[in-house]
Amino acid sequence: MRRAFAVILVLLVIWGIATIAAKSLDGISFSVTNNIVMVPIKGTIVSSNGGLLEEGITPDYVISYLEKAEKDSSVKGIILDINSGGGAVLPSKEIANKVKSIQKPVVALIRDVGASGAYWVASASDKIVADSLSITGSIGVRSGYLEFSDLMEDYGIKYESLTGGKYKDAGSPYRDLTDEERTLLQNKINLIHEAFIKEVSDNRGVNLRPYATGMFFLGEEAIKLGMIDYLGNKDKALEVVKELAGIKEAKIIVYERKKTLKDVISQFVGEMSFKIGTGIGESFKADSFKVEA
Amino acid sequence: MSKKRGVIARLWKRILAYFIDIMIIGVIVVYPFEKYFGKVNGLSMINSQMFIAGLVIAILTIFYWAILEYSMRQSIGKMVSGIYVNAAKNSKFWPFVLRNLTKINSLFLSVDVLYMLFTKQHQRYFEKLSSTEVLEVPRKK
Repeated sequence: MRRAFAVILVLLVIWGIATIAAKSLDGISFSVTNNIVMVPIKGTIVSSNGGLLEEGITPDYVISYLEKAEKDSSVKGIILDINSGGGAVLPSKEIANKVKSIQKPVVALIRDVGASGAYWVASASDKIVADSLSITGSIGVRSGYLEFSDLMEDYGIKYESLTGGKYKDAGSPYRDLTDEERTLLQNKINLIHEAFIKEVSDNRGVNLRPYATGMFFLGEEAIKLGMIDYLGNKDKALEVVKELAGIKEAKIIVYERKKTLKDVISQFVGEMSFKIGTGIGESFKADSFKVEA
Repeated sequence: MSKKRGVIARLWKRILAYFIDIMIIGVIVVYPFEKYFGKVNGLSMINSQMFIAGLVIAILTIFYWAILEYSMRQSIGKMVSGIYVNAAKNSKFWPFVLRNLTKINSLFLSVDVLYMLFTKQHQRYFEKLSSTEVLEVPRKK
């Protein structure tokens, strides 16, 4: 009995020390260098990476990186390395809210594209740096779906729907929208658009409503409209974040997701599908209008 | 080590004991630090917090074995497996720390265990250094 008590006591003491040590570790850092963390936001912003072919930025991983950077006292600033055309509304808002809450300087660096939901995220940072040819803005909301009721009719397929609730079936691909439903759904889109405009305008301290048509802007246009702060590249973003952090030298640390087997397969299948699609497209194409860089 | 010799512990018992202890260590020592290792998926950076967490885990892991083996001559895994550590009667604490030093790293432990294959007493190298050995608990008649 005494022996069992002694064993339990030893276990409790060790567990207690481990727990206390783990709790006291928050905020401790031995690093003598100043670090700037780069958090990549590349791809479509999605709620979760569910299927094999779905690959994108989820709020979970971006937020976990931001929290990690925030807790690490050696990290003096954060650069959001953005190359995204946006994506789902809620995940974009979630990431933007997290960016806003960070107490350390955050600079958004827009590479090729930082539009729509990705611009929402960028707007939440302290400063935005983009190249003169970067695509940004596109403050708009879009929603759509395939409706194939006519096709079904052609094939003699009839859609029977039993619903409780007048609008439960609104947006079904098997039947046409009524005017009333169309108006209702459009109103929802308008509400989201309004929230989007308000958020980005508040974040930037500029009324962006006149430019919130869904149209994108190049960096050199965006700077004149107050949508971004500086024209430049990674070096400029680093210079700005160092200035905001009040430091002269800093080491850049890139937070990157390790590629899993699923990522590799998904990338392979994605690229293959794209090439097949391009091949089919090419075979149909005549001398069409081209814009290439 | 004590002159009163018994039967050398069988290998499977030692392995069983090790895995039981590892599971206990996982719960009481590693789990409290889980957020420093598990939360940030795929973060390819070892920062100072991870380093300190690793150091504390290593120290507490050694102490788990050292304290129990010093005070009772058995860790929980060894109690379950029916084996014990044989050491000199007035042995101090440090040999028990020494014999468990390699358990913080699987590579060190593998090399240490490899030594067992080449000795008559089937001792790990660090057991030899600390003048300890693992024996079967004698059956009561």
